[in-house]
Amino acid sequence: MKKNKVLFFALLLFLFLASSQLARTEQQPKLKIITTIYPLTELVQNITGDRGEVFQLIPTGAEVHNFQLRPSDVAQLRQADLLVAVGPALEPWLPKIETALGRKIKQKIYFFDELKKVGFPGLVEQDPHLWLDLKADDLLVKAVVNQLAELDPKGRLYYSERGQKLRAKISNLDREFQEQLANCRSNIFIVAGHQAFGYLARRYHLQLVSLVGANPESRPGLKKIQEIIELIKKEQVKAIFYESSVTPYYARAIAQETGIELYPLSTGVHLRPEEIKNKIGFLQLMKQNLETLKKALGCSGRKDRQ
Amino acid sequence: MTELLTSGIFLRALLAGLFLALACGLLGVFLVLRKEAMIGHGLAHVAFSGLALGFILNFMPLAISLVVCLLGAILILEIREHGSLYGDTALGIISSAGLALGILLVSLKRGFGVELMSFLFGDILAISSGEVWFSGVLALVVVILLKINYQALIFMTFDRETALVSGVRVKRLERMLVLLTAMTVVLGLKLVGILLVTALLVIPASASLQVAQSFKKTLLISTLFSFVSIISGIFLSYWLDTPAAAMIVFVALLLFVGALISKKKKLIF
Repeated sequence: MKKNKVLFFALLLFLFLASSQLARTEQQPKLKIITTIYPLTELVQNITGDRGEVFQLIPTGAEVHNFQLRPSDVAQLRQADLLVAVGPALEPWLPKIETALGRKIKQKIYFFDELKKVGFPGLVEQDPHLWLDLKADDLLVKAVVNQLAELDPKGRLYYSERGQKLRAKISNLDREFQEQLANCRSNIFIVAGHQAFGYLARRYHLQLVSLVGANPESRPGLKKIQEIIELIKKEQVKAIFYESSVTPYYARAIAQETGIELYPLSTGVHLRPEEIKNKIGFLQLMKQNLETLKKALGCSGRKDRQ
Repeated sequence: MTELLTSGIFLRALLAGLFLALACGLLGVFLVLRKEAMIGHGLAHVAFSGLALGFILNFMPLAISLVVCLLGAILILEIREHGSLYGDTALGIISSAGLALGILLVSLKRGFGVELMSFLFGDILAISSGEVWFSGVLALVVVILLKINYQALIFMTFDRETALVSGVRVKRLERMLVLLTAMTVVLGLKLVGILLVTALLVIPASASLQVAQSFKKTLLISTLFSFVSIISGIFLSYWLDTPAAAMIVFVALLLFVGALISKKKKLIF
């Protein structure tokens, strides 16, 4: 009886091993791409489809600036064919990782550098929130497609087709932003958080006022808070925005003074638990941002659309 | 300036800050004299694991932090008694345990870094009316309990053994002190953050000990120093547009240096 059981399990094990071996031989080797934050992951994944495997270094929701590597992350980095990151303003620890690995990662795309190369207008060295500018995303997709084609020439057509589709989606959304954020009751865009929406505000002609600078950990001074309260009263601003992933302590405090209404915006980096569960895409998050902005700022949209 | 003085944010920060200062100024004197200055720091680390737990459960992190902190406080006393260790050894054990547990919990979920970060430096400029009430009640409880047990506390603080022999209920008083400190620490966490909460417990009391001549005066001056730190810290935050918590601690440090100098010059009160 006991012998039978052992035989049975041995057979099971054999079948399992054989099948996994079989699957391995059928599969073509996938490109391994490492990204740092969710918007990059989403965009790259959309291009690579089945031909690549994307690993996101910083878990969606963890703090980016003080991120620390786990041993398993280092293992991932060792096998990487391509690294897609934003730039030193967001990931100042990346160069250290290469030192720790003892060698350079084969190929790298830094979002910031890609934009700098083409003379992207309005770049700010200290502000890493490039992915919130859809025009910039479009350029990134282009760069990633080219790089992937180089790494995997057989997939050139595949990547460029998927890239085209993605770029069409992005520019459609960009156009929606342009059109729907026209004719607003107010274009004063107050964010009770860190300055993440600078590029977005610039692109769609909103007048951004942020509570603190580009670093999410810094705390605001009383003077700045008071200035914002006065601005709200003077300009009769109706909406204040906060980052959807954190508890809006400051927005609430300001609302208690002014009766202003609170609206959540997503930076695409820190997702809410339900957003992670529903696997919401980055462009969907941006679409949500658009709806929120439109409602909060009272925009009627461009009517002369032809 | 007038807008500032009528601003609710300013008033709530000032009120809650003053209540916290009252509790810290009074408790601090006992802690410093009992050579327990770092207990606030240790308990803040324990509270950190409580916050992490609260974020994981997604349920009232501050309340859970309070419960965990109270448990940690009792544990410190138990270890100290049964391990026959000196005061800060038990503290060393519990605070590192708290921090390790906190880091473990954070890494388990890897998803609330930013939110937890906000407790490193506190948010005194963004507190709710409920938190002002909590700090008021806490200050009141501290004052009342210290007042009731005043003589016994002094006895115990200066000569624990004799007090024990004379029938003072030392254990109960020690428990009371530690639990009050735990509550104060959790409130301090919300207002000035994990990193700076010790400052309010230790610096005003130490400064006061430099210049005060009697125990009553020590308590009085310590509370006064706390008040001055909070008030000028908040005003400085307005004028210089800097984070309030850091300014509060800087003022407390200045007062301490001033107290040291005035002691050297024999200017005591």
